[in-house]
Amino acid sequence: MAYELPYTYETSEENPDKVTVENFYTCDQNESYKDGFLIRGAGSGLYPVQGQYKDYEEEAVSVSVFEVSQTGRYCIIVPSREYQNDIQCNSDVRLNSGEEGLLLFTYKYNEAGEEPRESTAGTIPGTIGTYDSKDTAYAFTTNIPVFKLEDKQKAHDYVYAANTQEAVAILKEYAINYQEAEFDKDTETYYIYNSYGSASYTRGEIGTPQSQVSRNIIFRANVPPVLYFDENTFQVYLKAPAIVDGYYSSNMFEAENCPVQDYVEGKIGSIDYKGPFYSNIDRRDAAGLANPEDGTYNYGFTWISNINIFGSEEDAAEALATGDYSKSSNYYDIQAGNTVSHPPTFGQKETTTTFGGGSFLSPFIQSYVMSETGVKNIADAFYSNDTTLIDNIKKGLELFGASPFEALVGLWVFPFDVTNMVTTSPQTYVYFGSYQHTGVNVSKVINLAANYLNAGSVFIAPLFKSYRDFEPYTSLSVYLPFVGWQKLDIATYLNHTVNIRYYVDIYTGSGIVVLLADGVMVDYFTVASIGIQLPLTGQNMSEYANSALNSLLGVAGGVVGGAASGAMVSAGNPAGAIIGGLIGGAAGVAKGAFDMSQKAKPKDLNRTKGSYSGGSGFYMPRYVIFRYDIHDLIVPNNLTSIYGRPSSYGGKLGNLSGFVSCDTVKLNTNGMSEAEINELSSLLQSGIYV
Amino acid sequence: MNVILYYNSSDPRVLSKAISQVGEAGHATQATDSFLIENPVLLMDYNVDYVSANYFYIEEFGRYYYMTEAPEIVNGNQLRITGHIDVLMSHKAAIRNADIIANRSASNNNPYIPDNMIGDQGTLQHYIRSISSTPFNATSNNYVLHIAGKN
Repeated sequence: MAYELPYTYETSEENPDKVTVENFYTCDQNESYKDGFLIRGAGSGLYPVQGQYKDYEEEAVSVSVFEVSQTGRYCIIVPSREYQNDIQCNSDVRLNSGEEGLLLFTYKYNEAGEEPRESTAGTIPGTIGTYDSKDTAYAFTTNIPVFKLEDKQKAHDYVYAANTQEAVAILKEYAINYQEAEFDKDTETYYIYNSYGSASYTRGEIGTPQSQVSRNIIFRANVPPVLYFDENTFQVYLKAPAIVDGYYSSNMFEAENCPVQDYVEGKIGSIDYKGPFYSNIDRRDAAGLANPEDGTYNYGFTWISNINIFGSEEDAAEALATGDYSKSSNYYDIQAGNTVSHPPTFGQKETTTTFGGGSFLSPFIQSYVMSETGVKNIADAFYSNDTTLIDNIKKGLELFGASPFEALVGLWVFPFDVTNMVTTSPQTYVYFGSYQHTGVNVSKVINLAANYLNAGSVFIAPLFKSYRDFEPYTSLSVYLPFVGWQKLDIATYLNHTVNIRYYVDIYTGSGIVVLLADGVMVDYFTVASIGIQLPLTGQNMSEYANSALNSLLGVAGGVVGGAASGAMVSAGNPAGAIIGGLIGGAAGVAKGAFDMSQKAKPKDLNRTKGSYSGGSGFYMPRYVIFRYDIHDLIVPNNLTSIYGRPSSYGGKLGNLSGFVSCDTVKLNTNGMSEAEINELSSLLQSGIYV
Repeated sequence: MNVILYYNSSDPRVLSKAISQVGEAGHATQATDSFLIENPVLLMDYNVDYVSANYFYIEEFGRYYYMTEAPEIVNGNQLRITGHIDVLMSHKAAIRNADIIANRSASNNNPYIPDNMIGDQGTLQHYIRSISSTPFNATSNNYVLHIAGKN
């Protein structure tokens, strides 16, 4: 029984039905589908596969329509407005290339008080939990394509497609959870189309390639072809090892990797040759010596211009017949002008960003990572009635003045495990000057060579696979802990896996958060303070508060004097300099006699202006949040049929169907009057129905 | 002239019209001294079936025409029809074979070109994707004490 869209299932207000699309999962040869569920149903005696549920509650949940198809295909259609973040469209969800995402699902249903029973109405096989009036789980055993409501006609076309090829074509363009499968490099076969073909040469014969040209030969390789650029010879090469069909008996090597071949203008031995590729004719072994044995060898081609590369022999053959190469995997690169000529003029594409090695330790200061108990241990020793620690510090630290607290340069607390950030060595003592204080578990910082804090990764998926994914229709922002909300350029991040890294300077508490897209740095933000510098003395406290207030007032990063400085005033001498740091800081204030001018000056702290100051950042969320802001658009249901959609099609008008309007037309007007031509031109520009 | 009369039910912008024949007048003549091939005015013997026609084809011209007004009974036994050429139907083969660059199409469209026929509803949806794992929740090894002391 076929259903026409939309199909409405009558429900009662007393028992409103609700279907929530909660999660997707992949079943790529794994068992994860058994642990999850896709649809929660509600209501008894209902057939989700046949009906449309409406949510009568105010909170937005999904409305889904399942369509039963005589072709064995099924799909889910969700309204765009219900497309919430719990519908994951990311790399974890995939329909493999060539598959149609058949949904396998069976369910049981029961009337209230009855035993569950099998459904009998053209169901989608799968497994299901107990089906009762609320929160019933439907488990699907494979992927199911999901279409937006505005594409419901395409969903209909998909389930009723005449063949697999047509169905998959619709999936690729309209299913929001479709993703191309990755080729298995070890087993997949790639096809390299080469219109100049090749010929089989036996040893010792040198033929004329033009005379052997066969335009329909397709070379096959059982590893993916690699286009690479050699900076030394300025050659572009396509490595296609282990050619099986149509081998070219020239420069064949037994080694797995093909060597770089020198390009010699139009020459093969003594034969003039001009073509898209060139190869020396001599057959050599891995040692570079002439090897007369026949067989299948690895060898490389040298191309002097781009070659279209196809993933299937069918596509390559179709391109040969039609002259339309748009199905090649590198078609758009070539069209965009990425043609490499000899010598090539482009450089390497960046694939990984290399970061700096970190900062430097001061030999005058020791830094110890510890937990709160370690800090308390030392504080207790300072304030103990037993003045051993104080006395010994005094002995070893006379140059620091009368106060042993001057030995304490700074105390920081961070929200992360600092041993993950820097290189440390565990020990049970600390040195104050030359005095060793024992009985405390610490990790001494021995190297600031950069580790980083990994704040996670997420794939930024397109929500619409259309212009709506870009500004101004969709905006992307990110909340970064200790930074705040930042606006991002969505085009930079779309379809990339974004990794967030924090690099923190443990001397100043400041840092940099870097955003990488597929391993390449694309954005960074400075962080005012990830750590909190805790006061050690009363003097220190005023300086700390000053700094925090000034940072909030927007004057951080420099010394503030006079009336503009913070409310707190430090009494006594400022402490010593801050040493080290990722961000170069100002030199510390020199110690000197107490005076009124310095009394008004807060300590010159090495901070970069940021969103948070002091400990305020600790109150905010400490995890990364990406946010899409999407404009709701009004899409008339009949827009496509009445007025088409924007197109960049170029070709024969007869290849199109439905509404079409033209920017420009080249028409054979033989036999037409000028009036006819003018009227025709006007009609084609305003639009006709083909 | 041989004129075939039809009833056309298609929108004028449809390339290949849905037409049903209502009659054929084999001896139509021109009703005026002259007319442009795009705008013929013809006379033919009256036939009650022809009255329902709104579309016709002139075999000698090889062209299709809309009737620009209802057929008019004249001279008591003749029908006068006035037409304007349907350039689409008349030249549909050439049109199908035309090379074009389309700006809108129902069957071949580029979803990445903004559509000015789609309006903004004026509301925003906010979708959140958070990363639950975070390094900023440490409760140990999170203090750093800098001390002036020997290595």
